[in-house]
Amino acid sequence: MTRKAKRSALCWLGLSPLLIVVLFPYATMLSTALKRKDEIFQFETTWLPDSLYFGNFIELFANRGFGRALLNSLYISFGATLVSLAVALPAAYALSRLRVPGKGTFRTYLLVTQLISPIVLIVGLFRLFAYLGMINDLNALVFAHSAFYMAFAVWMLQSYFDTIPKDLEEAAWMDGASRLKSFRRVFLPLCLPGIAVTSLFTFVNSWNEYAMSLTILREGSLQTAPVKIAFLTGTLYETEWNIIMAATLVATVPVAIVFASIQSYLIRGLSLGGVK
Amino acid sequence: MSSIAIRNLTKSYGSVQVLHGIDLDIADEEFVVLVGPSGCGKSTLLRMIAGLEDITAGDLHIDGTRMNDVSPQKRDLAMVFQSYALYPHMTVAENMAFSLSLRGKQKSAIEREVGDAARILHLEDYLDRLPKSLSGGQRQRVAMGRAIVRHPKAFLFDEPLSNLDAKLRTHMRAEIKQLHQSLGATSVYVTHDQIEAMTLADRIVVMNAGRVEQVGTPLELFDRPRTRFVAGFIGAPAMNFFEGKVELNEQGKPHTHIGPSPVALPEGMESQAGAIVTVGLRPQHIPVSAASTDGNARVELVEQTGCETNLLLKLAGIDFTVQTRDRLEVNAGDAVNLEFDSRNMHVFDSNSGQRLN
Repeated sequence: MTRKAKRSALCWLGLSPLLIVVLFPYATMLSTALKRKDEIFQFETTWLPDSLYFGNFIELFANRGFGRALLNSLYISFGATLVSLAVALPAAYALSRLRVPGKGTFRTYLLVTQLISPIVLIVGLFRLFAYLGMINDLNALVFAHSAFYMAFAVWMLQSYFDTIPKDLEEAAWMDGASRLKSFRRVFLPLCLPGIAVTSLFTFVNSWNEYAMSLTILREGSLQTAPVKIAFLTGTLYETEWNIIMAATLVATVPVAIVFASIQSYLIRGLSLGGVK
Repeated sequence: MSSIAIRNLTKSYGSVQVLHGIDLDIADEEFVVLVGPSGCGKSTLLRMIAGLEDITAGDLHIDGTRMNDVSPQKRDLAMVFQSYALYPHMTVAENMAFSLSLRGKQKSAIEREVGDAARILHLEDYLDRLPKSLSGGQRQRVAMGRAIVRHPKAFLFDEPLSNLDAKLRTHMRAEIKQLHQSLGATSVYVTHDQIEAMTLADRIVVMNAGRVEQVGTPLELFDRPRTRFVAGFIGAPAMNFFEGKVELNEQGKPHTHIGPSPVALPEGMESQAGAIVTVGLRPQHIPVSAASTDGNARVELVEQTGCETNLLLKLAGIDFTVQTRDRLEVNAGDAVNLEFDSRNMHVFDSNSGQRLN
């Protein structure tokens, strides 16, 4: 074995306990979701189900309204990501490139907003949306989530924008491109990895958010996936682990898809070679 | 192509003034090099011409039109950056075509222009490559290509060769010179390398601490530097300087002393009798000969460059550098004889640094 391979094997060995921590919940979810209800509570539990049983998923979508919850979550998460990017992109660009008075203070302010837990603001938010007549409105969550994750997005995008050499934009200006055109045709393509990471974080945060969704969306048909899952645990006389595990498994899928679809941007070092 | 006129141009960042009233005229098709040490304001001046820096006061005219408040997009100047600033996500051809496509040129016209530029710069085989797969010299060429496809009013170069190794730099220098000769483009070129300045320029503008020290052809600057700064900056190895008091001998001829030995000063220095002056002598203008034991200077270091030999010497406690084409058999510690010819001397006021002869 070469030295490099040895080192790599050692790293894997060191990381394997973490791998167990990461994979164990998935294994449990998958194993339980594919079993019949009575098979879960057998005295001798096995990892592999007797036969692959998809009834839990059918039950979930047909009778428990989980499809609707997924759609609600998707709407809110995509909406929050788009709104937050729409504001954060120009804000981060301005902070990175323009001479803005009070830039340092503003950045600190953005950071300070991250220190406040959303939970403490929930009562206030509820009153605000009640005043605006937006209780039981998915858009209320779109705005609330985008507002909460926007500061982080601005912070993150600005750090990324700072790594894009200013020369590239200046070269575009000299070539005759307006500020907007140079932003669109030169700056933006180079920022895709940064934008991808930021969108991913915003999307995942919004997808997983529970307390605000629970408070503002009171109607069952408007519940988001995490809220729905929590409600599944609270059935009257029993805890239907098979259904809950099926739901949690399904809830991880959109995040996995979003991750997979933008991962190529995460590893692509686009700005390489443009300037020495 | 066009002329550029700069009148009393100043630049301040808050209370810090970095350019103090620059006046400069650049004629049509002229190649002007701005040269000076780091922080002298040469790049700032170039960026002000480009429109990338605001003009605090003064006027900038291109082709007779005042350009102070015109955005860089509308000045129709092309700039080659020190970092090349190639668009990393575009191929070589797209990089060169970018400005033309912004102007809404037809595809066939763009292809022709890019093809022409690629041919001039020997880039035909690389048109489909991304910048990251090119060598430093090739990237440099693409940056030039991006500038020439546009046929702009003038070319601005911001230290374009400083990222290249010595051999490639010499090669690209010659290419830039040839390109200028064939295109006849008005060019403003910023560098801190005085060899680049001397070899490329029709006229050199020597800058120091935000001011223009002297404007002239390379040989004017070499032969008659107007200030001690220019004298020390232009020429390699750098000019030797020593200070002395101007005295008159019995015949009324001016001279000074290096240690105990009298050294004749150029004619006309009589008027400075009693004043402390700085005398400059180029290393090439001090004849040196090997001496037995009674030489007036002692060799500290011998540098062979093949064609020339540089001797670092000490004479009466003063350091001198002498360059000779003779193959002298001398080593460190040997004594040599130096001769000082007053006709080759540059005499400067020790206080103001202004030329006196």
